[in-house]
Amino acid sequence: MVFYDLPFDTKQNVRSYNTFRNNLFKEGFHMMQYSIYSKVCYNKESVDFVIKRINKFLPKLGNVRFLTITEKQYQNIKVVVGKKSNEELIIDDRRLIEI
Amino acid sequence: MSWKTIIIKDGERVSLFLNNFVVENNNMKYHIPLDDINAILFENYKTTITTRIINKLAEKKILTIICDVDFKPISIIQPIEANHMQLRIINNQLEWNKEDKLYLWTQIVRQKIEAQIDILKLNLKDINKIQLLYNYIEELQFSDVTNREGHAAKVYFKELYGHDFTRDKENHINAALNFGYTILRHAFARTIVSKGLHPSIALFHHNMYNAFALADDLMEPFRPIVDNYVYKNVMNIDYFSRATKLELVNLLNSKITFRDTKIYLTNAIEKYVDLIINYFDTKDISNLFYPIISSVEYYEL
Repeated sequence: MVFYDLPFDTKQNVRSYNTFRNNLFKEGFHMMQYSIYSKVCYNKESVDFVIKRINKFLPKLGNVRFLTITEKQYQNIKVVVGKKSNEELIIDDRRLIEI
Repeated sequence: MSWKTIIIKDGERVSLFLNNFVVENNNMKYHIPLDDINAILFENYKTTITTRIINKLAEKKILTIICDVDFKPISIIQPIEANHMQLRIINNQLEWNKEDKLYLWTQIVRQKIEAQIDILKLNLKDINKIQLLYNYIEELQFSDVTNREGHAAKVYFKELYGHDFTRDKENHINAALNFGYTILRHAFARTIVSKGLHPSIALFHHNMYNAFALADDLMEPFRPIVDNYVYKNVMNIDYFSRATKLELVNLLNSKITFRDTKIYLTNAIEKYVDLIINYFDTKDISNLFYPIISSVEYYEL
């Protein structure tokens, strides 16, 4: 999971926010909530690989953090208000999906 | 990196968004990262596909199979340029020595019959028939001129699926076998092309209408994986259902023992094709390994 807070005050900063966000999508992340993005990796090596790749396009300003959790821990998230998006219901560690 | 198999059942529109495979369905959008995808099966004949995503699928060497109205797999998507050393590899392939090719083919036939024995043993079949197959291996000659492969297949199919069974009858067992083989064959074709080899230039199969002759040659020892699945799960029902079809696609996700480690079948195919290329470079058959067919663990849906 990636959490971030990025400044929006200047045109330059908005642009770097957009590039960062698009790059996260290209890397295969999806938005859980605003500023919280997640991606399913199937082993430790692929986690390290993804982190290495994100490090290449980090924005200069703001606050960005990573958190690695297991699929089981992720599935234990308790949604108190609202519900999981349909996309979240489809994207997990299953190897075969029907849409 | 790729590990997901996707089946487009109801998806109405498929497109590309920032390196993501987007499926739209009932005003819902699903994004799946392209790098995660190993195979896609288009089942819905009304799905609209954009050209951008077609090119991207080819570029990423994703196994893409498109089914016809009657759910038979008809077409696949393949790139024109699959490997950065394309020409060199194809030139090498054209120069493969005929002797070497036929020697490899003999080994593959031997391996296929051994895999068939493996399956018969696993299902506790008649010991005499197994002995007969062993005899066929003994009698195997260079390039299988006496067609031991055909004789073995006849004995094997009759023993596995009952005495009345033949491969050319129209029934649910044959339908399931054909579907399973097609999936396996296209998985091989994809891997062969992604290694830069040409799928039509083969070892033994040389039907002039066959575009994937090399895939047909190389996949022989893997066929009993499908046979065994069909024996265990399709024999006892009397029709070929959609659920069975999904399970057959899912065979690509099953785990198999290859060189003493358990790996997924798609990865096993890739390693095996690498070893074949290596054989032609080194001419050393002892470095060629085959998966152990009876070790297949099916992936639970």
